[in-house]
Parts: sequence; C-alpha cells; structure tokens
Amino acid sequence: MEEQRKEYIKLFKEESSDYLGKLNRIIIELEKEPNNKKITAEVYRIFHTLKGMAASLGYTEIETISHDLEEKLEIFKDEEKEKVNVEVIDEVFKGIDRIEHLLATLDTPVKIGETESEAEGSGSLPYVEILLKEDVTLPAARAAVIIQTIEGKTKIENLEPSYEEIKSGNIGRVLKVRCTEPEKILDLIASMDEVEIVKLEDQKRDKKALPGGIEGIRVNVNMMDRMQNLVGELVVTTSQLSEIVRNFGEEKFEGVLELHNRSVKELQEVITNIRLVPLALIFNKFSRYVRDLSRKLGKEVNIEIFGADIEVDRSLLEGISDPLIHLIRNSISHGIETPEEREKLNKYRVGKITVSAKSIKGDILIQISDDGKGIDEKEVLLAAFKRRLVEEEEIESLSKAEILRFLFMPGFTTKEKADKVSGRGVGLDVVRKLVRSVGGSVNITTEKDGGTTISMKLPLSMSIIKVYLLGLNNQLFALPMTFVDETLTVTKDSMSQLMGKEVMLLRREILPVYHLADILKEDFSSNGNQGAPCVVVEVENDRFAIVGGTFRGSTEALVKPLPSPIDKIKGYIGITMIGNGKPCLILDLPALRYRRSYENTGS
Amino acid sequence: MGVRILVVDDAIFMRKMLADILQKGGYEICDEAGNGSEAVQKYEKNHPDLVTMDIIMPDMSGIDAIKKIKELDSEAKIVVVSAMGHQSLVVEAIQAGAKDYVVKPFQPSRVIEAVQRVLKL
Repeated sequence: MEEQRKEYIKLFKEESSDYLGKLNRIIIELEKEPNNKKITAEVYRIFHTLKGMAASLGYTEIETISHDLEEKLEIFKDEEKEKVNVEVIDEVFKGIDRIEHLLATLDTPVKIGETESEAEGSGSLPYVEILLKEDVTLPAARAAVIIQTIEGKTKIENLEPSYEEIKSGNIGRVLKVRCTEPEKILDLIASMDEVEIVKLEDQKRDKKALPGGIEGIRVNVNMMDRMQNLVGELVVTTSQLSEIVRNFGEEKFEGVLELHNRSVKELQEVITNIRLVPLALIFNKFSRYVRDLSRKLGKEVNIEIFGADIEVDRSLLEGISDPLIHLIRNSISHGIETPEEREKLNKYRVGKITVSAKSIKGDILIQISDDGKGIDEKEVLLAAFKRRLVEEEEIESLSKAEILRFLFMPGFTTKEKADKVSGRGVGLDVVRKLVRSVGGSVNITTEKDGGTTISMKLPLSMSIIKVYLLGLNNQLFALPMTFVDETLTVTKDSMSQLMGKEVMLLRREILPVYHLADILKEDFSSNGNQGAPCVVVEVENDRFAIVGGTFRGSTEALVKPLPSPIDKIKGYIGITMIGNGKPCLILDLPALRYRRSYENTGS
Repeated sequence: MGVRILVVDDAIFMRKMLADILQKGGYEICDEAGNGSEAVQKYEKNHPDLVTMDIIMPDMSGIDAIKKIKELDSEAKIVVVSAMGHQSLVVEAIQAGAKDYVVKPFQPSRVIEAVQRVLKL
C-alpha cells in the first residue's frame, strides 16, 4: 500500500473514532429526549460526514450504513417534524457498532491517548466540574442552590444535568457547568456545604496534554516500558552514588552529583508523564455499556462520571478496565432494583451509578457507587456460616467490616442460583486480585436499601512507588505508602488485650496490633518499655497497627519482581534496591493481613 | 442592632425549635408566621434580614410566599426548611428565589451554617 493512502486511512480511523465516540454519547441523550431537534440534526450531520469520508476511501459498507441512517434521520431532524422513534435509535446503535467493528478491522491502529472529548464541538469555554458529597441531602436542591449562586456571579452557558432534570429531582452527585468566568466562582462553591470537590476543566489544556497530529508520535509500548525501567535503575544508582560520596566527604563530587541528581529526577518525571493517559479512555465506554445492559435486564439506570480527565499510567489503565466493568455490571444486575421495585420503595424509577476518580496524596481513588438495594450483612454472615467460614461462637464478635470481607473470598456468593449476567458470585475476589496485581486495594461500604460503594485505591504508577522503610534484625523492609495512614511511636503501656487479641487505643479508636517480627516470622526480643515505631495502615476495610522495628525513613522504590526461589514466599509484592545498595523486600500488606486473619480464626 | 429573622412554619413545635437554635446562634427572632399569607404580611411589617420558610403550609404555600416576598423585596434572603422527600418542591422554591435549604430533621449546626452563608451573599 502506498504511503499516502496509509496516511489517509490513519486519519480516517482517528477522525471516525472521534465521531463514533461522540455519537455514542449524544445518542443516549437523544434516547432520553427524542424530541431534541438539535441532537437529531447533529447525529444526522455526523452520519453525513462519515458517509463522505468512507466513500472517498472506498469503504462501501461504512458508506452504505451511514447513508441509510442519514436517510432515516432526515425526516425527523427539522423543528416541525415528529420525534425520533425507538426503532430508529436502535438502528443507529446497531450502525455505530457495525462501523466500530469495521474500523477496528482496518489495518492501521488508532493512536493511543486520543479521546472523543477532543472532538467535542460545544465551544472552547472551560467548564466547572462539581462533585457533591456522598451523603448529600436532596442533591437536586443543592444543585439548584449552586446554580443560583453561580448565576449571581457569572453567566451560565451550558448545564449538565439540564434545568429540567434538576427540576424533576432525579439527579446524581455530579454537576457540570460551562460559564463565562469560572475562576470567580470556584472558591465560593468549594466553601459550600455538601460539596466535595470543585474542579476547573480547561479543554484547551486537555488538547495540549493529548497531542495529536504533527506534535505527537506513536511509541512502541515495550520501548516505553524498557525506558522506564532504565530510568528506575538510574534513580537507584544515583542514590547509591550519593551515599558513597557522602561517606567519602568529597566536596568536589558533591556539586556535580547534585546536578546529576536533578537531571535524573527530571528525566523520571518526564517518562512518568509520557506514560500517563486520561481515565476517559475507559470511562467513556461506560455510558453505552450501562445503557445496553440495563435495557437487557429491564432496568432503568443512569450513569454519571466524575474526574475522567485524571491521568494514570497506561499499564494501570489496562489493569483496572476489566475490574471496573465488572463492578458496574454488579451494580446493574445485583444492586439496582427494577423500576417497579424501586417505586414500591419510594425511590426514583431510574437508578443511579456514579463513577468518580480523584487523586489523593499521589494515589488515585476510584469509586463506583449505586443507589440500589445494598448488601445485607446478615445474608453475608449466613452464607459464610453455611460455608463454614465462620464458627457459631464467633458470629457475635464480628464487625460489619469483618463480615463484608467474606465477599472477597474466592467463589463466595449469597445466591443459590447463578444468573446469566454476573454468574454465581459477584466475583469480588477476581476484582480484588486484578486490583492488587497493579498494587492497589479495594474497599466496600454498603447500606441495606441505600446502595453500595466500592472504592479502589491505586498507586499512580505501578513500577515506582513511595515506601516507608522499617529495619528489623539488620534487614530493611518496605511498606507501600498507599496503605499508610500515619506513623507514631508507642510504648507497651498503650497496648492492651481484647478478647485474646492485642490491641491499642488511638484517639478513641481500637486498632488490632500486629508485631512486625511476628508478621515476618523473625525472632526479635523487644527492649522493654521503650518507644517502638508504629505504622497505622488501612487495607481493604481494615485498619490496624504494625508495631516494631526501627524507622528508616521513606523513599521512592523501583519495584522488581522477586527472583526465584524467593518468589514462592507469600507476603511480598517485590524487591527493591535502596540507597546503600541493599536489597529490601516490599511487604504485600493486603496479603499479610489476610494470612493473619486466617491464623486467628484457627482455620 | 443584631440580625432579625422571621420564622415561618405551620407547626408551633418546629417554630419553637428553629427559634431556639437561631437565638442560641445569636440571632433575634423578630416574628413568627404559621402560613404563607401571614408570612408575606409579617415580612412587609417587619422587614427582617432573613426568613426561614417551610414549604407545605395551609392557606398559601411557601413557594407562593417566596414569590410574593420577592416581589415586595427582590433582595429578600430566604432559607427553605423542608421535610425530606420534597426535593422537586425545594428546587422550585430555590428557583423562586430562596437562597439555601435545610432538611428536617435538621442538625442545629446545619441551620446556622445555611443562615450564615445566605447572610454573607
């Protein structure tokens, strides 16, 4: 194939994908408001454009599909014409799917990092993205207050959800406002009750972050991985060098080394940034997925998305795509009730799923919540008891968090029969396995009839993570900082026994205590009542304290897989080299805690 | 002179609770009203700095009262106090010109926060 044509095909694919992305989004809106002539006309126009592009490259099937749909829509697009009917919308969906499939089978791949948001035509005004708190009372009323406040200061150009939807009362926690002077209102809204986060989204900036055309190049993923590994090595050897120079006390070296250090740091930052892609790449697929599945199950579900612009390492993105889809599927098939059931419960017919992402202290927190029936912990407990995961005498002493933890056990289910969509169990064990494999953790909170929220905490990058260092018996151990809540020093006096287990009291909270030496199965004699380091960690619905060892500071660690044969030992996610060139094991806190809880229940 | 507040609610009990909370917060209760038309009259008479307004009341609803009060004084500051489950009515009240809302049963701190915020506007 000649070069010129290859180039054309590449452009055609990129542009068509943008159009399809946009179609997928606006067609869902059209389905909700079939009388919206503006959207109808836009859908019509997009098919017209697709037809022309496909025809000029000789892709007859895409051309024919686009042409047929264009003709079908023609009679609806004008103001005085009737509203679009369900059959046509279904055909449009089918057409989009077919064209998507056809595009995928053309040879040149679509560039990574390209999102449909770039094709967004609705003006270049920045917009303000607002996430209301999880426990907000009357979200629509709060939205109305916010809108009124904004209107007092600046002019609103566009609003999502619309005024009508807000008036009907059935909205979720996300509000997007496009207005003329957003800077004026950010602080004002941030200070309001029941507002969790306010963000300014600048589309121009987005474009810069996602270069297309001549400024962007495609890079082989393997090369990128290798490059990152090499930079990681550089970081380690540089800190080893620094240590040596410090020990020698050679001033001559120190200046040069400082410059070198700075360049390496910058290089690391650059490579980390190159690998970043926006969550939008997977988040954008959710609306369509929710629509299709909820229809199939006879449910009415809306999804809202917050923080799609947040960027993560591309390998992380790949790792969480399946778990996220899995969780959304759970919400629709197990969580959200049928419209009839919801009406009986005095809920809105239409269920709501919120997917939100935010970055917290260098980690990414992704939450999927629904307003469905929630999980009854009594049922979970019963199922656990039936499967002999818990003894009768223990039942009383289990906390809600401990009970919910059973949901993550392999193959665990409260259902007797399997269903087609989600199989037998909710498969949270699979989700957790996948999330852990990228160095994250999963939490669940739920309220009977109130809904379920699953939180995934993820490191920004999989290969370089921040760690705390603890020393024990001349060895160093690293604790991933993602799980660390705080560090303090404790004495024997602050410990006590509760039902045969060691605990400590921290600001009215009782925390189980694990001794570092016990966890690592090391012999270690404690030195009386002197202060010992204590690291409070939170892992998957569990807070506990790790006591013992000595603090050795914190550092950035390049995670390497464990070499054979120590890869057989459970409880470590990998190994890293630190400044002095010593190897250091990185603790797999979720797994360690799991192992402990097995030992404690004596099973 | 302190901040003067008109408390509107058809239940004497609710008026008493609100008045107590607001007085504890350092505000003066200039008057109370038990329905919408009474609220409008008393607004005209007292010209309070702020009104707390129930929505579902006999004689004239809170929403109509808000509209009437806004006609009298476009700068009027009104906080809606409503029971759970009347979300679309609250939205309507806000579109009619109320500046914030509090949901019954309320936390005293919530009431004070809303009042403080609206007074600052």
